[in-house]
Amino acid sequence: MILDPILDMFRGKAVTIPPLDGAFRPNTRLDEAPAFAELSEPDNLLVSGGRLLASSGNAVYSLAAGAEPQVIETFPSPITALALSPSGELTVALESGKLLISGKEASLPADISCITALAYAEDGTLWLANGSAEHAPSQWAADLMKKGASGSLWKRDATGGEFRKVAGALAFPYGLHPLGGDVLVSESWHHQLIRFDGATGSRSTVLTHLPGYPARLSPAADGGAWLALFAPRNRLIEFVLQETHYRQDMIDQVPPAYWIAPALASNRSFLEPLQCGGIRTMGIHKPWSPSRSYGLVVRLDAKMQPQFSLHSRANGTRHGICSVAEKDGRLFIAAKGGDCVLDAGGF
Amino acid sequence: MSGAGPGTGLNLEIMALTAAVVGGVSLGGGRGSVIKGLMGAIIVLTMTNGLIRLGYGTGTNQMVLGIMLAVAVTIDIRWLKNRHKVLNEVYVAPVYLKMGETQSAVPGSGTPYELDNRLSAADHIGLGELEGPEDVILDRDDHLYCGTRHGEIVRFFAPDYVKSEVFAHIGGFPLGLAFDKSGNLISCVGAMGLYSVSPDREVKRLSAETARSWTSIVDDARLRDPNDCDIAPDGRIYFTDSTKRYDAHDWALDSIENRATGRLLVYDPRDGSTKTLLDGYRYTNGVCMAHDGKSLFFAESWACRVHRYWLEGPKTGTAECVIRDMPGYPDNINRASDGNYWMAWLGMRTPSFDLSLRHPDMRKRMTRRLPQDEWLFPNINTGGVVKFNEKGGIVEALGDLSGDAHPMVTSMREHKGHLFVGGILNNRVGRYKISGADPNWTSPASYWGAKP
Repeated sequence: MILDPILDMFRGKAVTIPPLDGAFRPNTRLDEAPAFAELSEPDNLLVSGGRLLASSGNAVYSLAAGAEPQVIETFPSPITALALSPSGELTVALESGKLLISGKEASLPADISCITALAYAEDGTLWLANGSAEHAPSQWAADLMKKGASGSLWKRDATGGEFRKVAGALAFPYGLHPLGGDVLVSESWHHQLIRFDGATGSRSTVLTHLPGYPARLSPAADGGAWLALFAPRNRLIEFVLQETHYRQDMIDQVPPAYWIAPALASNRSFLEPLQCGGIRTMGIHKPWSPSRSYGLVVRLDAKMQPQFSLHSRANGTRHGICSVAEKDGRLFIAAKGGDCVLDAGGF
Repeated sequence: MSGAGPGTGLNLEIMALTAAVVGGVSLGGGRGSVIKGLMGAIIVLTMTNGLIRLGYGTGTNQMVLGIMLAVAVTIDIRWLKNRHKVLNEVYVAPVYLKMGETQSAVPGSGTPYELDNRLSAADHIGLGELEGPEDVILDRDDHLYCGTRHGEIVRFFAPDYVKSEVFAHIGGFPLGLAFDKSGNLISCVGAMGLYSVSPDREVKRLSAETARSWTSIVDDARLRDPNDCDIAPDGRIYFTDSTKRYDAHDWALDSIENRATGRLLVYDPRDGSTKTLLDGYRYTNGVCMAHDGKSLFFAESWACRVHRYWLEGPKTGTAECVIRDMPGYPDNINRASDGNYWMAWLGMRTPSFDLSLRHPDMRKRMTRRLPQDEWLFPNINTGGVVKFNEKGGIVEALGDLSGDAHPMVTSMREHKGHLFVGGILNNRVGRYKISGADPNWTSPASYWGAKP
């Protein structure tokens, strides 16, 4: 319309998010996948010596088909990340900010207190993602709603020694995928994947405008990678992020579980926020309705570009995927918001 | 100006036309007034006089008038075409409201409001056939009636409620239902008005407007969202018109705006008049005559309150709040067999929405920047049924926390020991066995005595 340029001055700026299209075209593959194990809030999956390990709460479990999950080891505080060194040492990060390698506490610089991901490169270099300088890993929602960008990336050489800071001012790094001497990092609050040069620390953006908040990365057999996105982007949440006063009052006055913020699972309490599209009408919860939680796993090719994805949509239950693992050609998916580990089969 | 002949005004056509259109009289028809025409004439006269004083010739005069006409017509057409878009974009005008602290309804909280999962055990009637039974009612022969969003009133036959028929087609969205003394079914029809359906299915309009209020700029005489009604012993029909701002199908949008425009009205069948009794409530909803017929209860949904309006006694004509600061949004209210009252909750308050009520600017920007599907709503995916006593004390609360059968409850009616549950966005009527209820009590008998 010819008057648009004039009217635009009086119009608010529309809040938009990337559509689920192309490689992100929705399906129900996560909801159709059979459950491999029932486990409360499974977080990080790991393949270790032919066994599939999963962290849940304070314990590491071993999962096997047709059997109850077996506790391998328990820790004094919830586990926030797992990794396995090339020599087979189980490396565990805890909510309290401690890092244990084969049960021995590793010395950490004082700046590291929120370990969200760990990964060993082939040469034994240990990469460490520190999500935030201000919040513990379980307080990730507060970090997002306060627009935190205080995360950092660290590495320790294969020969041991101290951790060295590679990059700072990251908006919640949540996943690591070593690529030779470099590393690919998922920067959750900025919905992007960044590659850091292992030698110089220089950064290059690999993938931006993701439709969700990326969590952990894990290697795929053909040289690509799997990316778990733990929550969807939501226009109301992005709008609230622009609303300073409302957001501040919400952080101060509303219990975190009922914030207008991404979540690992939703629709569990009537105190949670509801958006118009999420209203149950004639017994139907629209799968395409806006939701605070979602299940999404994306396959990246060797160039780290998305190829296809697996979804659990707004009306599904396999939400809050934080980690996946490929074992013997099969893909296992930990749905933290769905309280189960899925066997998605081969790809 | 000695007289008007056939030649008066000759050659002034362009001026007259320009005056009319520039003044704002629509060429497409429908809008215009004498004042607008006069203002247009003054503008045109000033323009021509000015041009003559500046020394321009007649031709220029005509041309300038022509251009003015063309511009005015263009604006008129564009405005008419895009008016609804502009209105859509700026219509929602939220206001500030600080909701009071509420007791929790969370299971295990130990309050009288504590919701449970009992309603999920209800049998279903008309599952998949019905769409939007906002209210349900049963007649003396145990048949079940409910409205649908297709503008029909559907009757399910006793005793098993499997067979059904369209009892009457009214149009609009039939909401609240009540039987009068002679067995006519009175219905508040959303977006239309108050209607009566006789036992032989003759549909009659009772009321579609009330007196315009003195201070309103916009004509508020029309009933936009008549919601629930009940009938006093003398035959007068008390009913609510929930909002002056939205039609029945957009009822939930009124919660975003939260303006107090709900009314309580009365229709008098003796002279056919409709009067506004109360105005300025946040979404007036259910109405229920007290057991003694001397007062009525009505729900104020978005403020989570129930009021009592007195028809007799020293407080005649006044309302007092009997239940305030509930954790849920009340909808219809109906009598219970034990002398108490049933109240439906259409949804639950959420801390984030309560907070947004204190941030009207935030809600305004939300409606401008986000499509409607993304707007923050109260949680109307969980409802319940609450029983309260004559004094407003809460007796018990039932819910369906699974959300599978009765996520939102907008009405319930007790009949012979069962509770029939309806929901405006649901696809069924629920039938729930109430333990310990009087198996012979019916609502028609409670209102109008035993069968004549």
